[in-house]
Amino acid sequence: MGIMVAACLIASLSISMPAAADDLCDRFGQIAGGCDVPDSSGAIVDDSVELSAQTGTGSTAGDGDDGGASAEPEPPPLTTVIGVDGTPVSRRAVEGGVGDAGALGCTGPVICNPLPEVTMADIAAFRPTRPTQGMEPSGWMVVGLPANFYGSATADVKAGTLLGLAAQVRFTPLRYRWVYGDGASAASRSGGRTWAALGAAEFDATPTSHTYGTTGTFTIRMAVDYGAEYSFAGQPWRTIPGTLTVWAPDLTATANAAKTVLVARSCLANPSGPGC
Amino acid sequence: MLYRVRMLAAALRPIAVLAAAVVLAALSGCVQTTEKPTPTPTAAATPAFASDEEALGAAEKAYAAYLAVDDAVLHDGGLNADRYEAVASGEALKASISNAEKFQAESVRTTGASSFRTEKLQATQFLGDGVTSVAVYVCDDVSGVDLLDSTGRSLVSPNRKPVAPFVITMERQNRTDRISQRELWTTENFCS
Repeated sequence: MGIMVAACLIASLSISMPAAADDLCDRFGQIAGGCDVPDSSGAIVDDSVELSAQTGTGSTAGDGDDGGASAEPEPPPLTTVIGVDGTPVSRRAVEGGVGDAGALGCTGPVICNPLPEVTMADIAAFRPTRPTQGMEPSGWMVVGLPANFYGSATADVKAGTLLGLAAQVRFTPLRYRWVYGDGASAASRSGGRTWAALGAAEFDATPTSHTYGTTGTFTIRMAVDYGAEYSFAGQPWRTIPGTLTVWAPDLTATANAAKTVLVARSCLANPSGPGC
Repeated sequence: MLYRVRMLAAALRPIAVLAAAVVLAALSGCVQTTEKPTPTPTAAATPAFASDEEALGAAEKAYAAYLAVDDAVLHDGGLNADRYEAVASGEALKASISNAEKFQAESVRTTGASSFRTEKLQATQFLGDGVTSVAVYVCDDVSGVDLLDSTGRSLVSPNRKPVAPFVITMERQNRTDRISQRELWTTENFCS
């Protein structure tokens, strides 16, 4: 979870509970007229949150209202608290906005609730740019020789709405996975590179190459597992547990057998030898 | 001629590669894996309420449903209190049932209908596990409700203040809204 904003709970809970309603005021008491309905009047005027400003942690200490029956009951201060993301705190509470522990601080009468855990399911509307894959040789391979596979995926920041609020989600490729179609699969932290980029010769083995043992046409699938983080309105990035898997478009390639003959001497030494 | 050299090199390469692969595997551990990648399931997730207004509307509806059931049960003198289960949960359910028991024990019943008006949304809160709560200030009005004993005599106090401020809490879970808490707001009477 890790997103709990524990420090902020102090001021919060005092707001929703009126001084414990007295026992008489069940429906029976209410209908019969036994409820101690308060006299004072006062409309709730603000726009969002009702806050009886009880800072600190003192339990019920100061609620009884100052000095007996001073016929002038003081309505609780009503304040609209707007979070740093521009959303009233009350809405933020339900929608998992951030800022409760951020720039706004939790001093004063601010409702601070634990932020809900954002999951991969919550960011379903955000998608990283689809990764791509390539191979060398393009579209074919030689049985028994490495074919080089490489994928390309970039860290991506997508803007959108998360839990009702404007947010950004950042995707970082963590792992590349190949399913070669011949029963083998592989995973690599890096997407691999072309032979040329690696300074390798054709058919050289690379960290992401694969050697087919039989002829045939194969569909090569490649996926990238992304880690994701989210951020509301310039707040720090927070990691979302788990990874998101996105598949690249498939490749189809044919593995051919290359017949070779082992000869005793090179063509230079034996110009009449097979293949010379 | 050159071709032949290439062919020779190509023929020998698998052996070299195999040897290299064995060494590599020994040195670096397996890169290859037979684990089949599984796509991460995705699910659409939407906030419980698109706006404060929607939250308020849902709470109003839930409370109206609660009061309708409450009136029905109390008209019957508190019988069949399990009817509350459809509209109340938690503390509110407990309180409603115990109130109904009191009605039965006292052999009293009500007539008429309760009404209310909504004052204000107090707070919405995500409680986890897919539960969202909405707390709303309401003004309960029982001026149309009479409390009768078994002989039909009214038990309503002449000093009754029929309109009283309450904070009600509705909880939404699995798309079902139920009243979970209902308490007299004793700090001030925003209804009068």
